[in-house]
Amino acid sequence: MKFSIARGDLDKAIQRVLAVVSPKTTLPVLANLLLTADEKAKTISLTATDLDMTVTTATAAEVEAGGGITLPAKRFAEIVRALGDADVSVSVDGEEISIRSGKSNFRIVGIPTEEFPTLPKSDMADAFDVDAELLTRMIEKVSFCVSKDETRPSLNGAYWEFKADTMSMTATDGHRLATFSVAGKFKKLAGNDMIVPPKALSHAVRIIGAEGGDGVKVAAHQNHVAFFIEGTTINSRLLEGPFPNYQQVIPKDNDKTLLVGRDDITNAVRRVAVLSDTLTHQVKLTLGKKKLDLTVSTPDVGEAKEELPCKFDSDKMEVGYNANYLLDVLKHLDGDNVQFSLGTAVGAAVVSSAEPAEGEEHTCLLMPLRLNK
Amino acid sequence: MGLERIKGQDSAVSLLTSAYASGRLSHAYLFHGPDGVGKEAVALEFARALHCETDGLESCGSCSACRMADGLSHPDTHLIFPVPTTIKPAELAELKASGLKAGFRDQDFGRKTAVISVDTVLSEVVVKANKRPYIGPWKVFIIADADRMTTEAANTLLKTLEEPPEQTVIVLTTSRPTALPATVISRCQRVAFGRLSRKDVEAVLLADPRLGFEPKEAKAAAAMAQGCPGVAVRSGRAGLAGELRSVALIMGGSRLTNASSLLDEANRLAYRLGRDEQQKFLNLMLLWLRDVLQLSQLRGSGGSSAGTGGGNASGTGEPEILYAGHRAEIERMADSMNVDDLEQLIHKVDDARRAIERYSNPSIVFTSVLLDLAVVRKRASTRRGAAHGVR
Repeated sequence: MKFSIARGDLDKAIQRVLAVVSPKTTLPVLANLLLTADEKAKTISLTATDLDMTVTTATAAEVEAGGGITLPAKRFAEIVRALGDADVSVSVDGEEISIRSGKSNFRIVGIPTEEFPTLPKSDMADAFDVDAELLTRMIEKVSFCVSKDETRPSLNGAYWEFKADTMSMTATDGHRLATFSVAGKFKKLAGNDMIVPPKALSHAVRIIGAEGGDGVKVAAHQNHVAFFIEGTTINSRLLEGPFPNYQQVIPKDNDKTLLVGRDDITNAVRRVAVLSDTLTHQVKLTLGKKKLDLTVSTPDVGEAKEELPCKFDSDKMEVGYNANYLLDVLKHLDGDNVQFSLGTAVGAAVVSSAEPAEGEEHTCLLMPLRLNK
Repeated sequence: MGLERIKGQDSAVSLLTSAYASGRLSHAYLFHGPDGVGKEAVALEFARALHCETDGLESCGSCSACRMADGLSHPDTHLIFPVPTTIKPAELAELKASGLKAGFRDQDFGRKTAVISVDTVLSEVVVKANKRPYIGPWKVFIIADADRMTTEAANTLLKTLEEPPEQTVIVLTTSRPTALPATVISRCQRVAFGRLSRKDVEAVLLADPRLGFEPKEAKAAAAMAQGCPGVAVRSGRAGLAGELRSVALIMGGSRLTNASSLLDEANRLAYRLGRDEQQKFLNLMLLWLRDVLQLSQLRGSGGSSAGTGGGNASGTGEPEILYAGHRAEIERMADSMNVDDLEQLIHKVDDARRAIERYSNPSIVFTSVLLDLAVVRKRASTRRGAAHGVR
């Protein structure tokens, strides 16, 4: 194998896959990158995997001879990062890789490609198109709710489901829930429901951000999902379901509505939360017709209180939330005003934007804290 | 190739193959039986056969799944085994990697207690079971020495063990099924593993050229292994000879000349050896006593004469002496001790073995057993002296 490439291009390609390489691994070859060169297509491709997620990226290069090798990821990345601006030429002899650039010369030892785990096959032909900007927004609007609790593994991912006329993504950790759905024609995809690990989603968002590009192709398989973003493919294992029936927990009969400015309440919560309990982060909301009181009272720490204007269509009530969860929700909603739809002080609140975008529905669910009387 | 290359565990193998053929593979198996009879070997072969690209429960040995299985690097086979609790996370990854390469049972943990912790079960089994397979369709989890799971670890496993996702098989192996919580046992289908015939053990030892056993050595090793080829494989060719010698030194009495040497020896056994090695040492002591008992019975019934080198005694009456290389010492002991002495010693050693199994203080156990040995020897020799005096 032999090729040469501009240093910047190689560095960029490495950065696209490097995050997948895990520092500690039981399989030595997983600390390596798979590097292959295609003489005909004049491209090289880099692949990294941690057995959960595999990222492959291709980039154009002057390929003199095709072939493949795996080489230590971190060292290779450091070398390429530190090189001067001259073109980099890489050649492989047996298991030895030599890297040349200007007057610098490196030789490192690799592992034959046979030891690199066989990649799940993914066919671009089965893939469907998703608008890159929409996908990014959908992921960002729900993935903050993905559970980190390993004892309930099916919640450790975002549930991506397709119905005839909507596509939606949902995540929950049992304390809060976010669901985002968008209207469109998804009839062909119905039944392709899957639980995607957040790592794959955030990597997809990163690559979309770095590469631009407006079309993303997604292929859903029995065991894995593939994202094709420009020259990069992200292939991730799915989580086993079933995802809980979340529709059941979204209250339908919440009859009280609170309208409040998003920035107002966000800043106010952030201020009073400074004094909140380090364990519960409790902040109390006292809802009046035109006035919303936020209070925090923590024994041995102090008290904070703030008052802001609001619109509430029911009698006075008190409800407590975890300030961090509340801020998370407020941060991910759009629009100037948010709408809380409430039932009782111990029932879930449905929080959404007061000015939702057309064809989209973004709903968050927030469980209250029981207030000490 | 495949499961049929496992020797002497036909019932276990046929149970698995017929369950697979009828599409009724259980989601959890408990392989139980003595140490070193091939429980993990069957589990690994089973995983390999499930992953192999050929149909049925066979492995071709040439597809990429088989090649990965051979290198223990198949991404859908998860091998979990006990590791010391005191180990640092960084060392752990290294240890696991080298353990997987070298055969995890060969890891020298010394006297550290190795356990399967709740974190291991959570991250290696629960989380991974709830991910779809990498290649698929099967996922296999092999939890070796499952009795070393801590109580918390076992409880964490319960939910996954009871209803793992589809096409997931969890295999637990243990040589001490009684040490497992009933909640774990009741969730598994039990598969019993028996000891192998001596001939099978011999064949296993000769089959692997890496072990380097000569046919004659393999015969002796097979006799000592008591149906557990793994025991012989682990001590290896040189190791076995050394172990036999050190047992002979103690049983023959040359290490137990006075009180201080006895205490030294007891301390050496208690503090230098790991628990498994101590068990094995006591087993070898029992085998020595078995040899002595057999020879003395033979004499009592008027078989071959008391002369030295009685190996040429005729026909079926000649017992098989496992310590063939130490025959002279065994004969000397058979001459001096009577059946009561031997019976007493056998009980003492057996008690010691059980005590070690139950985590008794090894120093006390070995001091006591060596003291008993010395006392019985002394009694036998004075009796013999007195008998000579009368004569």
